[in-house]
Amino acid sequence: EGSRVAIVVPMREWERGYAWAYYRASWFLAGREVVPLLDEDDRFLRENLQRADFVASWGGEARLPRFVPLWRGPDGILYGRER
Amino acid sequence: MIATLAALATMSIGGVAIARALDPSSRGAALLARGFLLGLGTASLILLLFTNLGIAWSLSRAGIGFVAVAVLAALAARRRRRPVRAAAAGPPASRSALVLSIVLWIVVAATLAGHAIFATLASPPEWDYWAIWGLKGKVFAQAGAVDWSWLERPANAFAHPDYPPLLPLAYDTLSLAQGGWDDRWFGLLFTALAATLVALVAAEIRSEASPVWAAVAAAALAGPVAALPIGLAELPLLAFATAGLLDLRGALLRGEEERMPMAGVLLGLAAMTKNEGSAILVAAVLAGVLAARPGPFRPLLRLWPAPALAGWWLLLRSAHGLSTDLFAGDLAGRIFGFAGNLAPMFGALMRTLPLSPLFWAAALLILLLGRREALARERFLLAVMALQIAFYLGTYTLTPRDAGWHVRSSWRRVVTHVAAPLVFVAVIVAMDAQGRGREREGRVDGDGES
Repeated sequence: EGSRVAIVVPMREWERGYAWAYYRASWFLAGREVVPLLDEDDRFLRENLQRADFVASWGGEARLPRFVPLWRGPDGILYGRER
Repeated sequence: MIATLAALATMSIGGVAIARALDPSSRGAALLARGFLLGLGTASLILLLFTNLGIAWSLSRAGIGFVAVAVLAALAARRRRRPVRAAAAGPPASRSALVLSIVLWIVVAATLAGHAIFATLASPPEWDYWAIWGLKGKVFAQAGAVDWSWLERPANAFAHPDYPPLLPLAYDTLSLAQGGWDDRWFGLLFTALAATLVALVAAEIRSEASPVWAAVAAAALAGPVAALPIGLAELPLLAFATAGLLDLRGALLRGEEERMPMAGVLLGLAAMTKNEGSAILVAAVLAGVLAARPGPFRPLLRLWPAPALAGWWLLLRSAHGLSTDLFAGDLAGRIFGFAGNLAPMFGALMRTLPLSPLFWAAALLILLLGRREALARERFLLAVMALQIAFYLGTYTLTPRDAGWHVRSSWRRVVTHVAAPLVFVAVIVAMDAQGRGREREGRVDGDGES
């Protein structure tokens, strides 16, 4: 509760899938602070990744410095900050 | 499901007490329908009040707050004299007409029963439910309050934090009754709203015409209303706004001024449901001034609960910096350059049929064929609808987005905001045409006999 979760999905364009995934994640993760890693012009939001407590990756692995996998499911991986 | 049904029933019972306090002459189906709407609005806005007062949400606190309002309303209703409303019911119908009306009501009941089954098959699937209305309800339910910090966060702008909160708060009321978030059963709220809307329009027609015309109105409206998206604010807005407009029409056209406070509260609840509700309120006041001419405008001041309710949210919205995307960016530039949006807007309008196109075609055809006197008598509702549509088209010309996209993504839905008043006026105009036809037949028969 209250954690900041960044969203990684295979779609890397806002209008071509990333926005949908981000909105949908906000629904499933209601109660947490869900943050996007892309803006509407498809620019990478590095500061959101730096502020995130967790990264939820759907549809594949993500290469994320300073994050380690905490949980794996058939469709995705939850990463947490390396301690 | 039982908890949701119990919550809806409790809202109706408490709401009837509030309805009797606002309009002591209201009775029957009209009273029950308005009672449900007022109960829903009261129960939802109590949660907003609790947030403003710093009271954490719980079922017992919300229940005590709701019962307190209902008891106060019941006491107020007992003090008010109950005026006798003139022409409370239209003329009786023939036996064949009664059989027809029973058949039509069976169709209406089957439509609503089908709606209840469809609406509760699963959680509402609409994009705008899980990205806007349902999402806010879920976030607030988890926070146990209206979560201002969530609304203020720029990353959540997609959920339109500026939208009025009544529907998300209605979900939270049901969620408190359920003891958790189980949105599959929220569909029952929409079936109740559909039934309420049909009953409201039919009861109003019945107060001026035979039961068969009331059944015709119910049957004409049930399909399009049942086709509205489940989980979104269109149906609640349509129900609140139509109820308020019919009360205002009764006050302006039939001299039933005791209906003004009810109209004010219901239009205020419409404004607390969607931003378009505020547009409807402005349209209603402008059309009311037009319809009241050459009479005094002073009775319209009794609509004060509507701006008071709308202002409550506008103040909170402003205090928390929740701005509307329509006014974002270079608004002045868009106002001066609105002509550039006309071509894409009209192009998209031509290609975007509203939901239930046959319904719209039939209703508009009836209006086109209607007698001028009958249309002039209904100038209030016609003016409200015209202004509303004009406001929506004006919004498209000022949109910061692509005007064609804006039309394609919203026109189908927003045009339904006039569906119920349109059915009402179309049935009144058709009734008038039938009455004139009968008069002419009577005169011809009379001439033949002499």
